[in-house]
This record gives sequence, structure tokens and C-alpha cells, in this order.
Amino acid sequence: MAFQPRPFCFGYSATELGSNILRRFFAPFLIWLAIACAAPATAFSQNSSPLPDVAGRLEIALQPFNQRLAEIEKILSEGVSNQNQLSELRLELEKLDNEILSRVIQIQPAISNLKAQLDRLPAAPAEGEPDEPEEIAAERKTLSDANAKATLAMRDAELMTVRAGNMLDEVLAARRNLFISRLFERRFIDGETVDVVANETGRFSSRFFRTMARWVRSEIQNNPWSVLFAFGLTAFVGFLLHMVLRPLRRWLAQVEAGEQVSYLQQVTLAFFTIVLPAAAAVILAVSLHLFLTQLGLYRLRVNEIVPELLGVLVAGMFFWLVLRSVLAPREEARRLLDLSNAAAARLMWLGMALAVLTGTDYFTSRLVDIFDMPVEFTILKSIVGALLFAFVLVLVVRTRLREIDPDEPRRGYRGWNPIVYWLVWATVFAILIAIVAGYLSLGRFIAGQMIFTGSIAATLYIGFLASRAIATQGAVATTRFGARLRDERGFSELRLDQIGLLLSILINAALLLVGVPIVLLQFGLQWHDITRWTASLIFGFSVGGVQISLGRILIALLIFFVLIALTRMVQRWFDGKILARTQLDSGVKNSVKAGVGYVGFFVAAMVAVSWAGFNLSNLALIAGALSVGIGFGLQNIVNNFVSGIIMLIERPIKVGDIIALAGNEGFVRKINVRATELETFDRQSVIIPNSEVINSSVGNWMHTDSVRRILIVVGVAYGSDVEKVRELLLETIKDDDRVATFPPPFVYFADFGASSLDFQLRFFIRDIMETPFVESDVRFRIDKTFRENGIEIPFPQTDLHIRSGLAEALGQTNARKGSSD
Amino acid sequence: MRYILAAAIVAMPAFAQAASVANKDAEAVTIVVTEDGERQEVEIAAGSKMQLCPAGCFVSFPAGGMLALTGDESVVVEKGEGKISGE
Repeated sequence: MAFQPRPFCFGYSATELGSNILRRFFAPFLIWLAIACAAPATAFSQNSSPLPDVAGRLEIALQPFNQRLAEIEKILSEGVSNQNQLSELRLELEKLDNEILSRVIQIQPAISNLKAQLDRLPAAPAEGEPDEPEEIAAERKTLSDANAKATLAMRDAELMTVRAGNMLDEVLAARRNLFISRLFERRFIDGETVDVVANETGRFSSRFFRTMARWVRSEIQNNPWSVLFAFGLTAFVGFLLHMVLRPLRRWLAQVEAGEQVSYLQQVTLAFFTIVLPAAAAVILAVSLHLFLTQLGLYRLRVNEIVPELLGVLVAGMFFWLVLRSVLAPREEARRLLDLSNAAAARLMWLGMALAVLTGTDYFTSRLVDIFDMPVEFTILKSIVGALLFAFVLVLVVRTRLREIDPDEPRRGYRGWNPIVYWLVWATVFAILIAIVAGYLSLGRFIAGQMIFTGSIAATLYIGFLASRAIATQGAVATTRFGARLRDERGFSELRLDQIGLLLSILINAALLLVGVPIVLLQFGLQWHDITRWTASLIFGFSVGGVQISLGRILIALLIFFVLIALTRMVQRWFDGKILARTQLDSGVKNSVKAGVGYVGFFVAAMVAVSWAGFNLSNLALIAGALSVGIGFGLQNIVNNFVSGIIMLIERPIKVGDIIALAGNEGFVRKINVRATELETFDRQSVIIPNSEVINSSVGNWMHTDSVRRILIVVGVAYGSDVEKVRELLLETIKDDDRVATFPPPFVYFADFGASSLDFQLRFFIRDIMETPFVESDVRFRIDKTFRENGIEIPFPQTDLHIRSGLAEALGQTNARKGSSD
Repeated sequence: MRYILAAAIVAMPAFAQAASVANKDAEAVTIVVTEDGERQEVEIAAGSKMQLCPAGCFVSFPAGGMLALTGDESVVVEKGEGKISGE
């Protein structure tokens, strides 16, 4: 049988992948079911009834596996040279491991039961103590024996899995070797080969067409109605799809007619124009196949041919859709890559040529399989296919991607990325050399890999472009979805951009998650290894005694954020429902709210860190070493923080108080962890570290109440009636509501001043906020009453006494005055 | 809110289940884990817990006992013997 490396995954066919997924997800479920059913079956045996022969049961259950393993061992030792057989063996061995495990799990409750019974016996007497009663000793012996036998049986089972694992490794190695040996087979073409092929081609094509014709004729003759039914139903499905896709096509036309199409819209458009028709094609093909199967219309070899043909056609159509969307040869505006029109058209043709080549190659391989064609056929087909493929590749890489920009002389890569350019040429040469040297399979393999890896790389690249497009500013807003969010829900542009960023991250993550395993599988890694690596990454691995587990860290982060959000909610609830109903002033409410916040943060941090499994004792060493430096450096900050806490508890100042501190006087606006914000009367914000508030003297005008004493100083001229002055001063504040009647206002005769008699009007006002207004108003009133009552407020005065020389001075001035007359 | 969403999405793979083995002794203990036919020695530090085999395995303990796990049990190791907690 001809060897044909399927360009899907190294060594994996679709069935194996599928069964792998089945095994990973459904097997545990089945195991759970098995346990759940087995559990009630384990009876609790009393001392008197005979012990269940657990070991025996296990051995009987494991017998068939033992046998099968021996058989497989024999087969392997004889050597297997059939890839299919090797695949089957591999599947079987993988399943065996699970089945053995599940059998043991079924019996395990019985085994633990034995052990539990053993433990329940009174402790064995130590040396020198009297022996225990005979029954207990006998019971102990029976139980220990049974226990030992059961454990032995379990060890046998474990050993069997190890054997199975070793055999699996052998099978995989054999597969690898087989693959490589086939890959590097050398064949040469001679005249004889060509003759054979020439004959065979003729025979083959006539056979093929005759089979198909015969089938069609016989079916139409024998089951005309079924045929009609099958194709009619398919047509109906097609009609349904058409109706469903019609609104989409209308929308597409609308967008096309639109003017400025953003890159994101183009990508979305491309996506829809690929996925939906492709899905429709798949549905159609599957329906046709189903109908033909159900109606029993498959006969002869047709049931193998038709699905393959349908598959190839659908794949080809998909490829065409992708090329058309990405290259958009006729609509420059919709093109996703930066290409000239000519380049796009040419690449479209070449791409389709590649697809047709690959499809034909694959299809003929299957036909060769189905019709048991001779191997020479494959040889020639390989050569022709690979050569044509290389030829098309050369044409592709020689396409000029863009018009030459005179300002940017390139080195002749015609717009291609140099790496891609050389890679393609390298592949072409590799294929040619392989063919010429006779390594035909190798040549075909390289060609196949090129297509597969190339398509994946291209898809990932486009995906990456798309995610980048979504993340650009204003991109989401251009889509209908984004516009709707903005208009109906009032999302700001910033919010839309953030959504775009998040989506882009998600897309990149998805691309990585899907792309990387596929590429790895292509390079020969086993699915098994990949899952094992991922599991160890998530569940933890040891690095030098420290256990790192990505999964736990992520969950810890999640828990942290959830708890923080919870704290915020509790704070808000507290504030809204409970504190609002109390009589406490706003300062206390603030304190409580802040306190809840700190407690919540602390709890969240503790829970998250402990969940992440950080061994804090390890940190203690480091912390000890750093603590000296940190201690010195953080001295002030910690000081401030602790002061803040003391302030919360003791509350020397509250939010809203007017305080005087270090020369600043103003309102307390906010008390934070480290510092307190003051707003002076000039509306300047002064930020004072809490330690200063605690450590120095703070004057708080509103600590107990808002009463304040005002002093108004006024001087009157010597000679004024002081009693009148007192009366008038008290008069000015008598009817003012803002002035407190208790303690009573008081006029204080301060001093016989240098220029005036100094008085102080002393009174208390109820609200300190009124200070400037009251002071000013009272002064206005004082001036008014003094003037009305003729009391003078003097300027600074000095009495000048002239002791001598006055007469002469006067005489001289008089003389001058007289002479100027 | 969106940070929680992002963290949740990213942390989703971490919600997968695995069996956990906790060492309650004062010294580190070495167990032999047979997963998919491969034996591997795993050391669990004193007082710590490790998560293993999400898909089932055999675990052999220093005192000679052996347990078969399916992937969602919690095992406690005491004095070299392993027991599924909750029994």
C-alpha cells in the first residue's frame, strides 16, 4: 500500500485526535460513574462474616488486561511494518492504562475498608506486655494478610500500566522509524516505471469513470425516488441557507457601498464573507452525504469516493473564500494586505493553482488507496506534484507585491519580507534536490508541510492583524456594535477603546492557544506531551524546592480583586444604609469607612497570598536582611501611617474642622493614610504629614464646638468719656444674633496708650465661620456711633515741648515775614 | 469590574481539577507517582501541599501503601502512610 503522509499532523489522523479528546474528557466522567456505582456495592463486613476476597477480585478483573499486554508484546517483538496497525496499537495501549486504573479504583474502597478494619482493632501489645486475646490476634492476622495481598494486587496493576507505558513508547518509536524510513526511501524512475504508469493511468481512469457511471445509472434505475429525494432535500437545505444569508449579503452590500471603511470593518467583513459561505458549504456537503447514506444509495466503492470528493471540494472552496477575502483582487478598499492590484490578482490565481494541486494530489492518493493502484503510480504522481508545486512557489515569490517606491530602493525582494523570500526559495530548492536525488516522499512531504505550515502562519498573521486593528484608537467606535454601545448605552470613546484593547488581548491569547499547539504537533510533538506540560504549568512544578503554580497565582489574583470589589460594596452599603441613619458626624463616618477599607484590603491580601501558597517563612529571611535598610528608609512613612491610624481612633481633628498648624490655618478637607489635606482661606491646599499633626500642637477651632471669642481693639482720644465709650461699645453688639449672650460681652479698658485710651471689646460668637463678617460689621458700627456721639479715634500723637530758643526762632521768622511785606 | 472579568477569563484554565497530596509530617516525604505508565519521584516538603495528576494515577507511599487516584481526591500523608481524607 502506498505511503502517503497526510498533511494534517505529524502522525495523527483525525480519529486519533478525536479519541484523545474523548479520552481526556469523557473517561474521567466514566470513572466517576464507575465509582459512584461501585460504592454501594462495597459492603461493610462484620467480624464474623468471611472477608471479601478483594485481592482475588482485583486479579480476576485484571486478567484480561494481562493477557492482552502479553499479546501485544508478542506482536511488537515480531515487528510491525504497518502504520495503521501501529496507530491501533497505540490507541489500545493508551486506553489500557485508563481501564486498569478504573478497575483498581472500583475495588479501592474495599481495600481501604480492610485497612480501616485493621486500624479499628485495639493497638497491638508492646514487648513485655501480656499477649492479646486469641480472637483479636487471629483477626489481626487475617486482616493483615488480606491487606497485604490486596496491596500486592494493586502493585501488580501499577506494574501493568508501566509495562503498557513502555510498550507505548516502543510503538511510538516504531512509528517514528517507519515514518522516517518511508520518508527517506529512494526510488528511481526507469523506462519500465514509465511504461507501467502509462498503462495504469489508462486503466485507472476508465475504471474510475466506469464505476461512477455505473453507480449513477444503477441508482437512477433502481431507486429513482431516493435519488430525487436525496438531491431534492439537499437543494432544499441550500435554499434555506440562501434565505438565511440574504440579510447578511444585503448588509455586506451596504457596507461596501459605504465610503471610509476602517481596517476593523474590513476584517469583520472578511471574516463574515469567509465563515458564513464556508459554513454553508460544509452544511450542504454534510447533508448530501447524510442523505445519500440514509437512503442507502452508497454502493460499490462510491461510499469511499464521494465523501473524499466532497471534502476536497469544500476545502477548496474554503481556500478560495479565504484568498478572495484577504486578497480582494478586484476591490482595493477591501484588501487586508498591502498589495497592488496586479499582485493581488496574480496571487489569487497562483493560490488557487496551489489549492487545486494539493487537492488533486490528495484525491488521487485516496483513489490509489481505494482502487489498489500499483506503487509506481504514486511515484510518478509524487514527482509531478512536487515539481508543479515548486514551480508555482517560484512564480509566487517572483510576484511584485507593490509598485516600486522610487524613494525606497529595496534589494530586489519585490516587497516580500526577506525572511519569507529566502524561506520560500530554500523550500523550492529542497524539493528539487530531493526529487532529483530520488527522495520522492521527502519532496512531497516538504511540499505538504509548506502548504500546511504556510496556511497556519498566514491565518495567524491575519488574526494578529485583526487584533491589532481592534486595538487601535477609535476602531471599535467605527463598527455598528461599537456605535450602538456609544449611542444607546452612553459608552464614552475611552471606554470603547478599552473594550477594543481587551478584545485584542483575548484574540491574541486565543491565537496563541490554538496556533502554538498546532505548530508543535506539526513538528512532531505528541499531544500527550503538550497536555502534560500545560498541566504542570498550571498545577505547579518545583524549581529548586520552591513550588510555583501558575494556576494558583491566577486564582489568587482573582480572589484578591473579588475581595477588593466586595470591600468597596460593603463600604458603599455601610455608608448608604447604616451610617446615614446614625447621628454621627461626617468625620466619624469617614473614619469608619476608611477603616473598613483598610480591613478589607488586608483580608484580601492575606487570603490571596495564602491561597497562592507562598511560604511566608521563606520571605522572613529576606525580610530580616532587608529590614534594617527598609526600616531606616520607611521610618517616616510608617510614622505617618501609624499617626494616621491614631488620628482615626483618637480624632483630634475631623474633616471639616478649622485648624491652625505650623503657620497654616484652614479647613480639613481629607484625612489620608499618610497625610492630611488642609484648605486655607486663600483656597490653597496644604498637605501635612500625619506625624506632624500628632507630634506637634494643633489648634482646632472646632474640636468641641464652634464658638470663638472675638477681640475688637479700639482707641479713643484722651479726654473722652470712658463710661460713654463702654456703653456705646456694648450697644454695637447688643442686637446682633450672631453674638452669644453667654459668656456675656465685656469691655476691657486695656491701657492708657501712647496716643489713645485703649479699649478691647470682648465677646463670643456662636459660629466661628462668621468671624470676619462679625468683626467687620462691629467695626463699622463702632465708627458710626463714635462719630454720632462725637468720640474721636485719634491718630498716633506726640506732644512736643520746646524748652528754649523758641523766642529767637519766632523773632527770626517774624522778621522775615515783616521784610517780605 | 473589568479587571475582575479579565482576571477571571485568564484564570479559567486554573479551575481545572487535580488531586492534592498534603504532607502532615515534620520532614519532607518522597512519593512515587505512576502517571500514564511513567514512574516519577515527587518530593513534598514538610507541611506543604502539592497538586498532581489531573487525569488519574497510582501513588506509592514510603510506608509501602499504594493508592489509585482519579484526579479529585485530597490525600493526606501521615507517618509515611497515605490516606484519602474524608474517609
